[in-house]
Amino acid sequence: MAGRIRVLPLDRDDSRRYLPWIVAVMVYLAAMTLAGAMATAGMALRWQTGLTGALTVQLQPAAGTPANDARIEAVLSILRADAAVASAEPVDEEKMLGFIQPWLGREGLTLDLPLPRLIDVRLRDRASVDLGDLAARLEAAAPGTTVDDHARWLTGILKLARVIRFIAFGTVALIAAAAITVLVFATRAALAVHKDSIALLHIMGARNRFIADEFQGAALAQGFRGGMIGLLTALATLVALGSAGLNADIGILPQATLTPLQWLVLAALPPAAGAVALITARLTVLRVLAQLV
Amino acid sequence: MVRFENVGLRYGLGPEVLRDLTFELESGAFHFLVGPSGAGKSSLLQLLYLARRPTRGLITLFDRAVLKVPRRELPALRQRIGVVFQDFRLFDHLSAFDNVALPLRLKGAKEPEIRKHVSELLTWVELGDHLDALPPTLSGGQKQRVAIARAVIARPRLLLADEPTGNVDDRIAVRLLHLFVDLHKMGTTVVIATHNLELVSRFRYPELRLENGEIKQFRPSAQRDARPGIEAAARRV
Ligand SMILES: Nc1ncnc2c1ncn2[C@@H]1O[C@H](COP(=O)(O)OP(=O)(O)OP(=O)(O)O)[C@@H](O)[C@H]1O
Ligand SMILES: [Mg+2]
Repeated sequence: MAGRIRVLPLDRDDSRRYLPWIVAVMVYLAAMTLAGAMATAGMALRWQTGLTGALTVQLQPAAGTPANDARIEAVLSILRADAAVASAEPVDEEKMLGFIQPWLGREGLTLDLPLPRLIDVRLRDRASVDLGDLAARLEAAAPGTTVDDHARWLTGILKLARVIRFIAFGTVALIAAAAITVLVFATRAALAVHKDSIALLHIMGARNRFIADEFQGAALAQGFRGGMIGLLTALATLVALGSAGLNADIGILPQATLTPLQWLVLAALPPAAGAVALITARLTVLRVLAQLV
Repeated sequence: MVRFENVGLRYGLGPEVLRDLTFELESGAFHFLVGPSGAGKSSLLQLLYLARRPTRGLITLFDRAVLKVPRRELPALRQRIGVVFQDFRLFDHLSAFDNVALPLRLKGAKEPEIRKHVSELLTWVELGDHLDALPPTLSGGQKQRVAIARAVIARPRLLLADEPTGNVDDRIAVRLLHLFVDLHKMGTTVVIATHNLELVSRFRYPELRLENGEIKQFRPSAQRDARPGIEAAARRV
């Protein structure tokens, strides 16, 4: 292909000149969808790993017994004696207030609210812990103690991640289908525009494959160029989103970032667009020419 | 080489523009195709270069019944035919060089070989200074010479030329016809449609005369030796 003389001026006629821009829009949409889905999925995954290795033990201030240090010490000693527990740390009261402040406001904090005390427990091995047994032992040592293993959250997060991935794949597939449809029509239009030249090439003994090569070469270049425009625009958008600090405001969520592999997926979009354009153009040309008499 | 049997051609639902053509061109023959405008010369050539199918009758080309040739074998057949079109039909955005090189490229020739042959031939038709010129920047006669060079570059077995000297002066016309004569000497069958009776008489090759879509006069080339005519013409140049 390299250095091949193009007989048909495919990159110059109106039927194809707008193609890179359409491809650019498609790739932009695909890149944004993928980036969003991958970031969300990654976030869910990190949240999940954060949560599965952890338990939260809660001491209710109920029944007139304050969540005093003695009870906390009792619970802590049981936890720390357990072989499956890597660490058990009471959550700092200041930090607790920090969490609550956005909901209650400054005034709420001045009320002498009986706050529960929380203990953040990191596990060595989630599978080896018998939660029911642990909860029973803790309850015996300090009544009003509950153990939360975040299972409710986890199933919800996993389901959400699955749904997001499904929607993302579906969206990208729809975008690809729309792109292919546009490419087919553009190729057919170009065939019509150049039908005299194509007839002449046939008379000169050109095979349909030669003519398809002409089209696929132009399609590859245009698809790739459009893909690059779309990708660069998408990257600019992502960088702008990142620096706007949207992540930082949602403090309890892990950072929405992409792994190197996920960046690679985005970088693969322009070549993919070129390949799709190439294959679509080739198949369309061969199909249309095969129908000529 | 070429055989027509009761060949008829009509465009759409119109009248037959070619009627009951029956003739045979031997391999290596050289014919002028003459006749008034609208007689069907271009149409007959189109049948020969497989751009149209006859509406009836049988055409045999290179010993093959044209209508029975499978589609995938047509390119190979067509590559053995060189055509000079009445309206040139050059690719406007390709240089003179690339236009002439195209038949060789379609055949898969090597680039160094292409470069050598194409520049030589373009120099021979006095376009050595215009290798990179785009057809729209060339004069009518220059375009015609590019078209002729493109038709002969791949040494076709059958050469068909539709009014190939219509836009050039007599000196160049004779020179161009010598290209065809050279090719003819190498065994190519040549059919030239022309109004230029002066040229026809100069070269004294047999004529195929079309009138109203019918063959009026046909002298197989075997009946006379055309050689003296060529040489006489050549001496006059
Ligand atoms: N594409 C076409 N559609 C309909 N009729 C056509 C077409 N091409 C040619 N004809 C008709 O066929 C007849 C023969 O035309 P053709 O071009 O073969 O004549 P010609 O001998 O080459 O004329 P000239 O010497 O002027 O080039 C004419 O009556 C013309 O009107
Ligand atoms: Mg004509």
